[in-house]
Amino acid sequence: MDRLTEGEDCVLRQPLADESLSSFWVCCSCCVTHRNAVKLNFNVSWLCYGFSIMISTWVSVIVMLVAFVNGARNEDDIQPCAEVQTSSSVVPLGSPVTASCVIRDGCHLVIGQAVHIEWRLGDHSLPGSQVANESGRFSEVVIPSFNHTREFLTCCVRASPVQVVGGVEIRAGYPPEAPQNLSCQTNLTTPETLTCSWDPGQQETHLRTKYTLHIKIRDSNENHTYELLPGVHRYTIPRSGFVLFSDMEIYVKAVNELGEAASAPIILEPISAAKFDPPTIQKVQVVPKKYGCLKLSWSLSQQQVWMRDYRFNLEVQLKTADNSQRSEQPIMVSRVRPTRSVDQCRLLHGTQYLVQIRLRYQQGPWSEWSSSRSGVTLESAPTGRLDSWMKASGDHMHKQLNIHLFWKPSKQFRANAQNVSYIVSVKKVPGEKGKLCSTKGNYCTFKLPGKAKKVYLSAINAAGKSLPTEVRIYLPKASSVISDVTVLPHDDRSLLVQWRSLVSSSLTGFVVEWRPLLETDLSLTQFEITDRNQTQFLTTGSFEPYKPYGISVYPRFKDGIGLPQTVNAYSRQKAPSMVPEIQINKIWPSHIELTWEEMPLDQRNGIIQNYKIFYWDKKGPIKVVNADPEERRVVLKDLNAVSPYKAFMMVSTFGGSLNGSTIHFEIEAFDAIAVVMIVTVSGVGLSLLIIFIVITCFSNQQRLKGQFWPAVPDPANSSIRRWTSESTQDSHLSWDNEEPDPMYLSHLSFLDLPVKLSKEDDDPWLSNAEDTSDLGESICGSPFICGYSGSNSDSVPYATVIFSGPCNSPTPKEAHVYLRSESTQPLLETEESFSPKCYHNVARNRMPSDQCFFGPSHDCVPEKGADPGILWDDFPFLRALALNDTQND
Amino acid sequence: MNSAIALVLLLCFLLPHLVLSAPVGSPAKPPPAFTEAAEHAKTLVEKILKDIPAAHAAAITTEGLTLDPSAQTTNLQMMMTSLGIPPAPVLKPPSESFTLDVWVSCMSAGGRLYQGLLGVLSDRLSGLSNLHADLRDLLTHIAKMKEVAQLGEAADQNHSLDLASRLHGNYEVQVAAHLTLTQLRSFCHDLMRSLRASAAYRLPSPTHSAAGTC
Repeated sequence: MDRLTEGEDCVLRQPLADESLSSFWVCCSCCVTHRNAVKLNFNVSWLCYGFSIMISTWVSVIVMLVAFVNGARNEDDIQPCAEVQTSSSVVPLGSPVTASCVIRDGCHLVIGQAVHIEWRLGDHSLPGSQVANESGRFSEVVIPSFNHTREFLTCCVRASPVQVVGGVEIRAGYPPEAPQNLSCQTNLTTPETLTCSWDPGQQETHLRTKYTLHIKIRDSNENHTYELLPGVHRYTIPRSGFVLFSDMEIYVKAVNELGEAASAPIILEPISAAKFDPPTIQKVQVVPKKYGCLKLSWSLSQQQVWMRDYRFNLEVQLKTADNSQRSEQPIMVSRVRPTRSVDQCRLLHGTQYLVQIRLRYQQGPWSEWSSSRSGVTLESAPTGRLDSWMKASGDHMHKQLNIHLFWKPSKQFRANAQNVSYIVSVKKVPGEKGKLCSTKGNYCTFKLPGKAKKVYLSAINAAGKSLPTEVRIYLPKASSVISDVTVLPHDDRSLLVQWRSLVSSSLTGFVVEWRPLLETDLSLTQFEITDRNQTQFLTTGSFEPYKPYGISVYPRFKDGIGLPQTVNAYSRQKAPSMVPEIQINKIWPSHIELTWEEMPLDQRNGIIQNYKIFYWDKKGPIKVVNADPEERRVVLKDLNAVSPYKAFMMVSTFGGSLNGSTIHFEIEAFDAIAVVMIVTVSGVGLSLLIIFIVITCFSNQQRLKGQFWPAVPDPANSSIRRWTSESTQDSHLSWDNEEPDPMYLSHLSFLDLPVKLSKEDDDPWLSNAEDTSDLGESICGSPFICGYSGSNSDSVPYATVIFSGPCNSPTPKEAHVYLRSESTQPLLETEESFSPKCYHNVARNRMPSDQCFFGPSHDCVPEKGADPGILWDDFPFLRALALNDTQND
Repeated sequence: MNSAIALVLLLCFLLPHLVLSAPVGSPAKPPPAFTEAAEHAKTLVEKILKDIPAAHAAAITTEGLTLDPSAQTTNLQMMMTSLGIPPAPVLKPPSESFTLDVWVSCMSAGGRLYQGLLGVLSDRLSGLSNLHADLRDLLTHIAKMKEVAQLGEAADQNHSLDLASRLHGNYEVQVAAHLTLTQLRSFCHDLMRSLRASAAYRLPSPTHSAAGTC
């Protein structure tokens, strides 16, 4: 068929009134001839068809239809500019792809201009591989390797801008792989189904791959095909789709646009692929007269009891009730019916076993294990020997040894019964005579008879007794060859014990003994005997985590057991359960001592690594002090006395740490105790001093009296010589030891006093004898200080100056009182003279202008009525003093 | 064990001759395939018997319709007639008078009867599909027995089932299901008895394998 150009296109004209129907037919046939080319597809053909069967249709109807067709044709004039064709829209990934593009002549983009065609694959242009014909309106492109799983190939015309004139989608992938590992399993519980699954293959096809499951039942020649959802690689066939006791051929077919593949068919009988319910063990019995045998009666589950006439494969799992022995692999029993019991032999005698079974039919999947039932084999006498470990204590010199004997079954020992007891006897043949103890436990404590060097250990059950095991009695020795015992947790249930030992010719081996420290039951003590070359041992057993165990290593010598080395160990440690409460023990002005109680063993949860005290005040940083775990005390130093402190303790094990509660404390500036002590010591010291002084006073009464209260000679009964010899000596000594009296006379003048003695009763100073008793003192040492040059006369009047304050007072507050002495005794004429150290008149400032003479200060009333001149004349000495005062002022 | 295999092989070899060439001899033990098919059939009958109570409980909710004969208070004979449920074929153990082919044909006819009934009822009730499939399996093995023994086609009773057209209401459906399951259980009991008896059965001479009527 020729392609139509636009100029040759059939144009349906609206028929004129004078045109014949035949002319329309010509046109119509033209249209039909070129219908495909110009794509006047539906409307035109429908129109022609209508006219061919209804020749006598009214013209008006025809006109309307033609008009409709004409309108439709105008719409179909909008055609794609180009047609793109490819060898295949779906290709294998990486294969070459060829495509062609034809630009239509009517494409307005190419009218009247050269055409340049470009190819684009996605967003990328394809350079260089295009071939154009002469007109330039045909192009072909070859993609040598199509590496996209899905991409659009477009044909473009180079214009401004480049115009896409056509395109095609190309998808690439791989043909499906044959499904692998097809397997099916029947489910016999309601609803009964057969589920098949498979692997689709490793390679991704990148194409939509459809899987179908094909089943053929051989006996009935039924075929079923199940179409599966994409991406699902298993299918569950309903009960109506399979027969339980017929062979079925099953395979899976995978199909995509590049090909198909089928799995290798499997042939199975669905009942053989059924996973049965766990069977039930009805009972486990002993086999009469057959030691070590058990008879198992079993059945299928109630839902599958209809299979009871078939033979199944069984697996029997046997383990002892105490879990000490377990068959490594289940025992296989083939082709047994549920109606028949199964015997299992070669078991331990007199032992309780827990039995489990599972089954499968032919080569089907195993059922789950049944619940376990127990059974006990027939008993027989114990066999094999016992391993023992003996510890002796007491005074062997007095032949009173206490023996702790522990034992355990050796690898060869068989109790052959559930109830077994042990007898320790000094006799080889156990009997009541010589029996030391009988127990069901694993240890025995007894006093060793004096002559016994060995004992015998036997196991006894209801069926008999074992051959006795000889146990030699080893005496304890004081020698120790073991050092550096270390224990390392190996795993949660074992500890690795390592030790070092000195080389000793008599050393025969070691005994490793361990026991839980929180338990007092000796039966929990376990041991292991090693040879002399072994320096480590892996203890196994029920080590509970966070619980302490005491592990001892004893050296075994030829003639005894040496001293052990013992350590505590944990299989696993964690942070302690509690922290001891901190107690303040002592407080000093700048430091404090804290103590705490020892932690209970069951609260430690591990070996205490250290105690850390964290303390801080408001200002300072947190300080940390480590305490020795053994001491349980710590002294915090350099504390600030004014600031309150907080502190808490952290207890650490190798498994973690725990912080305790915070305490508050404050350092006091003064230590009350110290203050009390100081005061007490001071008081005692002062008291002692006072007592000493008092004693001294009493012992030296006369001397003190002379010092402080010098004897005033009675003028009536004394002479100057006598007084001087008695009193001045003391005054002189006192003067040497005391401060010099600051009150001095500045000038002394000799007076010529008339010898005129008044009566004592009339003189008021006599009534104040106590005041004048310190006459010598009041004179302030005038006999020594003042420039007394002696007197030629036998009777020298003298005066006394009375100070209201102490003599050594720096500033006398009271006016000086001068007393005239009635004494006519010579003034220290025989005293040796020496020069005073200094002189100054300290009383000048307070010297009143009005002098009081011979009267107390408070009675001092200037005698204005008297004639001063007469008075001074009467007392020239005093006048000289007054004059000097005046001059000084 | 070896002697048994040899015997089985011998039977396999001789059976076609026994059937086809009609040799004169004593009755022979059935071939293993026949025995195997019969064993499978028996197992399936047991399975059906086990499944019937569950199916009855799942499908029938009407009170008074119970599998317990002592609790059955209603006489449904008239309903059975009106629903057009035929009685199960009489099934006896194979014997000289009840020949093997008749026996197998009766088993087949009964199986087909109840398969058809359950097929109709399965459209109206749930819980019967397992039984329906079990009956199909049973028929497969009965057919295999027939094939292995090269039995002639006995004239089966063709029960024209128009049960579907008579199930006007739910009550009819319930009664029909109840009657079907009850009769199926009874038929399966007969099947079990006859299949057990067939274990001791010896194949008759081919002259006795003439087609019978169930």
